[in-house]
Amino acid sequence: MLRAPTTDRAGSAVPAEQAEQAEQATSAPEAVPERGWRTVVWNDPVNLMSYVTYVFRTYFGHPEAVARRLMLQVHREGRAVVSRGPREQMEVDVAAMHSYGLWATVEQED
Amino acid sequence: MEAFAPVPGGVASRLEENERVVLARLFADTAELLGSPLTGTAEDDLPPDLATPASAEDAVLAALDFEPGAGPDAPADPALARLLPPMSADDVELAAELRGLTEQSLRDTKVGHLQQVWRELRVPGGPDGAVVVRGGTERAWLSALTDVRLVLAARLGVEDDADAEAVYARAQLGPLRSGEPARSREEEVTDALATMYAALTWWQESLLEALPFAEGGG
Repeated sequence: MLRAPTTDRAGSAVPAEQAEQAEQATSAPEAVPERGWRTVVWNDPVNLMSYVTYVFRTYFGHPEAVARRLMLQVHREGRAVVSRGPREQMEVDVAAMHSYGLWATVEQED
Repeated sequence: MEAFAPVPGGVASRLEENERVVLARLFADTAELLGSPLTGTAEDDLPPDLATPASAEDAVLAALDFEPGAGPDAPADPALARLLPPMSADDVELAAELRGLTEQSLRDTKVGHLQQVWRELRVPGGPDGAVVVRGGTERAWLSALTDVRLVLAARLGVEDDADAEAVYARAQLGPLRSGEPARSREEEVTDALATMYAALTWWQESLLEALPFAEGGG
């Protein structure tokens, strides 16, 4: 199932690129009414870099450059946050990643 | 096994007949691992010279040792566990809850992808008997290829990038082994699994490269 990036409104799923830019703009921890959730994709030795990029582009709707950057983060750092939002949406994203053969998990924000 | 190349309506690849038959069984066996055997046995389609019980392909596929399994806990079979991984890495109860909610649907989705590929492998629809990935089906193909490669990698004990590199190296040595003293049956089977894994990796990469967006269409 394709998922296009949603606009940035409270409680909605935000593409990781926009979420990370918001994080970088502040140095203090954000005050949020409740801890949100995020989707983490983990590195694995089987998946092709080109395929992981394809998944990030087609499922999350990221431009090629963003998809590739996230893929490289998975590859180099072992994991990357690929989406943020309510737990229910993160569960959908994780299940989707599993349907593509990637391994992903839900996490609460720090 | 040729690289995928554009044809009207999609991309296509030509395979040797024995390659196509072995791959079809591999995809069918993976669906069976997920709990849904595909209808119609591959034995019906095997050319006579490949249908004998002691064929190399039979030994390799038997070595994959599928056990379907089902239940609320993570599958015991490492290959199945990798196809149906936990949805939480740090909360066992959450992982169990989410597995209960999503696992059957995930199994069904994966079997659907495998079945699409299996059908095309059994009855190729492309020019000169080539297998065709029709426009709009590439997602199913790429996911199914990934799942089959995940199973092979699990059987080969691949846990990290170094293990994967060793498998590719082993596959490359295959054609050079013909002068060596006889290897054990187990070593031959592992060689064959490594060769299949490397070939499917190459084939999947060629599919990704052939798809229209790979040429910068975005």
